[in-house]
Amino acid sequence: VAGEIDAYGARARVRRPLATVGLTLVTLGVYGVVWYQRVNAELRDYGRAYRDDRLAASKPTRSVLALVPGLLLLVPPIVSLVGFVGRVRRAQRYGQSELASGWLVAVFTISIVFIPAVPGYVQATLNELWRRYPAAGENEAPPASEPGPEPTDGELTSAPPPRLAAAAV
Amino acid sequence: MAARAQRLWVWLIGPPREPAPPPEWIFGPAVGIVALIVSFVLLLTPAWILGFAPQIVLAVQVYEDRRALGLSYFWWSSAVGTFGAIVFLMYVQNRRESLASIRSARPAVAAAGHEAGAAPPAWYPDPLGRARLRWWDGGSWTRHVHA
Repeated sequence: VAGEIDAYGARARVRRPLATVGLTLVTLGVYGVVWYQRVNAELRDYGRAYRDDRLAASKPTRSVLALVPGLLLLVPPIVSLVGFVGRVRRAQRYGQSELASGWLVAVFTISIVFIPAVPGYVQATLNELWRRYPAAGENEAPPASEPGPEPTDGELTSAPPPRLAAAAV
Repeated sequence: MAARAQRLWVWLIGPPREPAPPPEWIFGPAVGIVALIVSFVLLLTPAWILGFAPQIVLAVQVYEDRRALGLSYFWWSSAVGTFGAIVFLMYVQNRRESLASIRSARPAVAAAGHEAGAAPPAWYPDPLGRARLRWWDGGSWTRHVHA
């Protein structure tokens, strides 16, 4: 089910994997390029949230340029795709999620017919990661609160942190 | 109509069952290599159609494995069923890495000043007992409360 999540301030979108494949086919690849830019941007924001320089320093626009005009030179899209899968796996390691397989992406790409499966497969693995975070808006700034007895700073800092159910992590 | 279709489906396929994880040894590289050789040899014989049998068996094992692990099974089982033992070998390698990632005790780096995997910002039961809920900002308790 599609929806937006909030990973410590980084927004990312859970998309239906088969819908990304369908849209890529219907738009003759245009949606695939848009998806590539958006997912790269989500990974960059996720890297910023986790203070990961390698993820945070990635440039989604450059990745798209490597894909679209770069395709004429053959090498830039390959380099971009390798870097992209590496960034996806890096993000998935932070979330203790299943890792995307670069080899499977390579098989889909080399077979040419299955290239539209690449966004579907990568999105499916990313969805596993994004689902570990709360939906965007669920945990935003607190609404108006009831005035209660004011605790001291000492009480607030000495209180134990919340215990989290395993499924909510 | 939907109920009738469901009854027909259950009659054809059987009732829903618990995922049964395949034995661990199936996901050793040796199984993939043997399946690759068997497929290749069979494809050279007049009974070439049987060369596709190992990849169908492997695809079913991947499907059962991922179902038992609670992971999405569409992509990997389809890919093994389509491309055969070579993709199964890729699955074996990726499975090992992924299980290590999923079961790793603690992520390597802290997230935005907090431990990754720690409680995210949200309302939680007030540890001070002065309200029903208190806002946890991801790193510390705040003065915002819900009665």
